Amino acid sequence: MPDRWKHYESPGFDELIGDEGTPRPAAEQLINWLNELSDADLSHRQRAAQLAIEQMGITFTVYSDKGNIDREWPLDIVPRVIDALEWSTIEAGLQQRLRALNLFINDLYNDQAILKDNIVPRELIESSSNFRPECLGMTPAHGVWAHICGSDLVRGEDGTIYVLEDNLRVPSGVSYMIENREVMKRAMPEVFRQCHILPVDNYTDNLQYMLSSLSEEEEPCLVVLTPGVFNSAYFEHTFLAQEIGAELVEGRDLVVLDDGYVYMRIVGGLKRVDVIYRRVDDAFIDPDCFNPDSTLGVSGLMKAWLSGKVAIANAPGAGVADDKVIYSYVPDIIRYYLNEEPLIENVPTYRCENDEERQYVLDNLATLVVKPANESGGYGMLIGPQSTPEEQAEMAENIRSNPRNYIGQPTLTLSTAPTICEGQFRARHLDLRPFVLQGRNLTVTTGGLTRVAMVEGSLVVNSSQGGGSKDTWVVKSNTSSPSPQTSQRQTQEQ
Amino acid sequence: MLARVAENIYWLSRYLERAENTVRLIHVHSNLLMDLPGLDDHQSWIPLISINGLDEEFAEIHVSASETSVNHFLLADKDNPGSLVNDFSAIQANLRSCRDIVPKTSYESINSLCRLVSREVESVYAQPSHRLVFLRDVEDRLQSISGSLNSNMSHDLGYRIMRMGCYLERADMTSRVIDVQSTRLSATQSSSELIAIQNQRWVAVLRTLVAHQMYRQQLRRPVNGPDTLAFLLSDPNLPRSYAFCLDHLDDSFRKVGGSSAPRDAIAALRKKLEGAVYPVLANNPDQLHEFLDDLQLGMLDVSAALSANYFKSQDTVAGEDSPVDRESAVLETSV
Repeated sequence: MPDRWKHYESPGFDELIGDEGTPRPAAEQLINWLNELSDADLSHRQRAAQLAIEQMGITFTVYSDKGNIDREWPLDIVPRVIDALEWSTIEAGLQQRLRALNLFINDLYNDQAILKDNIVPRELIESSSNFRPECLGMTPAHGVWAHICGSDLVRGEDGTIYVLEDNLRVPSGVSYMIENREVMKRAMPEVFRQCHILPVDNYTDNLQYMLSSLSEEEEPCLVVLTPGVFNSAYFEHTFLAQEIGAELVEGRDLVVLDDGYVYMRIVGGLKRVDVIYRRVDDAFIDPDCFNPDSTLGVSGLMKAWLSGKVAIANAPGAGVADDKVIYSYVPDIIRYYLNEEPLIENVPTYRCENDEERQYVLDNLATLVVKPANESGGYGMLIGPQSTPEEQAEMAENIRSNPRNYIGQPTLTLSTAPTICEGQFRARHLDLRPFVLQGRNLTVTTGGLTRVAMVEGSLVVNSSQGGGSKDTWVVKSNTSSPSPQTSQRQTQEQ
Repeated sequence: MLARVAENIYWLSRYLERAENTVRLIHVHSNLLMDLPGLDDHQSWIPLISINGLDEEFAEIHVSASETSVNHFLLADKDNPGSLVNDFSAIQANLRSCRDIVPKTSYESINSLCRLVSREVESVYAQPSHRLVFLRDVEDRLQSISGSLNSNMSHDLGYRIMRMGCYLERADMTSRVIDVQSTRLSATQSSSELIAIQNQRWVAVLRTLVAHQMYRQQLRRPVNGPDTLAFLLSDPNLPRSYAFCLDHLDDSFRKVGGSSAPRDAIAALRKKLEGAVYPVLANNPDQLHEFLDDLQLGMLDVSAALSANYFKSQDTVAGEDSPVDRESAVLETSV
């Protein structure tokens, strides 16, 4: 083995390397190929990937005091490999989860059977900032509210996969999953012929099909609603609009007319819009209904949606299930609606609203991870083992003043994968965000976006906080590729 | 297509064409000066400023023109609204808003070029040899971008609006180049060398517009004023001739539809060209200047009509996305 493995050691479960220090079966061909590369060649490949990212303009925006900065998307060229067999179980688990969550949301806005049966406490829902009473009585097409779900998966020390959280509002990252693959094809084309890597680019077709299924029109007019060029995910908004053939609109491009339909301002007049894939949070989509100061939304949009004149994905109000306290009830929710056992486990969760569990969290701040119920991007959380006593005291204060808003979880030793750090392979912690779509059908991405904490020992993988990413390969082991068939090209007769 | 995005595409295209003109202009002019040893620094370089109509802005910062000051001003000066770096920031800003419309390969080429320019321009403007390589490289890349857009993008509404921006900008440049070079001809007074120098200048005009080779293919006689003017203004086949740009603009307007104002403005310009007597204009710089000035004013009318036609919000329901049908937009006001 090359020298760059010399100090390789994982503090937990490693995705590519097994206990004996030998590659896991699905990763064997990849590791062999990597080991044949010289150090110079490996760093050349990493640079090639970097260049491709610059050329393709794959960026994300970081907000800072000095204004917004576009950063190149960080990608480590050692992929994360998942065996296709294992993936099929995960896929089924994710479908099960989203199906149950959508039944749950639809129930909350209609019969509220789950509250009446005391499976989920009523106060919890009514105190949730993402519960929208305006939506009561509404049933969107197919009874589906969360059409696009990004669930974060992690693997513990013993190899068990857990769902860490469900993102049901405006989950982002899927474009990076697809672009990572494009970059990898440019940076190491040879390896694709050797490993049987399942493609990821069917996501956008599935997305288009799902969005179209929300309208009764045969060829509905789709738009992607973005907050604008300064949003941190603007790259993704343009990417998705382009891939699904939708117009990328801002709030100011849309108008609701007296007939109650939504129109966009095109060259020469107005055109009716049937489905809006919105990348703007609930609170901003309609100044008439929610935040009156919002300039990102469209007046009258909620009314148009409630009267069925336009479909919105994700539906307003879907975020009620994107709450880390409600997350802890998801296994019960699955059992309640589907009468099935959850296929993927939850991370054990302590709810601070409960007196006993709160006391446990307060007593163990130094070892637990504490998260606010409704933040995303890794903000506002405390990682016990890496925190100072001052930070713990501050968190204790926050919990006591607003217990409903906090949960505690054991600090998991996330699984790792080899990552290039100054020419050496180092074990770095990672997670996985697959994307699940539900409209008329349910589909899951092949793999997902793997995010990796670039700093040794760090568990924070968010790109807004310095995390990196990896291409995610779902690999079928023991299959042979079919021999290519080509017809000869015509040439000029001599 | 969204009216807002159409406007971004239009300006993207204008700035791309403008950038191409700027780099070619400086490149050709630098080469030309090597064959004009008698001129002083100021005389040599000030025409580049005049062609771009930036005399006042330039005079605010520099007392006289020199190779370094002019190149800095036109290429790297962030305070000059017409500099190449500012062209490229405008390109980047507009590209951002129409990223979903532009084909990916073209997007990548434009994006890489923006990076190249902002990375290199500071270090090359003062060094002639590096500068010439840089200018050549940027021009090549811009031409390949234009080729990639032409062959990868559907020739639909967005593309046509893009072409409109391109032809408008190009026609404007053609008139400016002729204007400046011919004005300078009038300043050269002495009689014996006049003819020789004049013809050399007309060659310069042709070269600046990459039309010298085509001129020789078409006319097969020595370069002279009346023929050059006729060729650059009225030739129907030369892509940078004024008439060619007008024809293509008119054709794009016809295909896209909308109010008749832009086509009326084009018709007025065509009439002006038809009435031109080139032998007289070639020997009368003041008249020529006035004539070209009128063309530039006429082109402003075209661009104003274009913007009123396609970019202003009209709250009436349109038929299909493209082409815009004027009647349907007017008839369906009651929705």
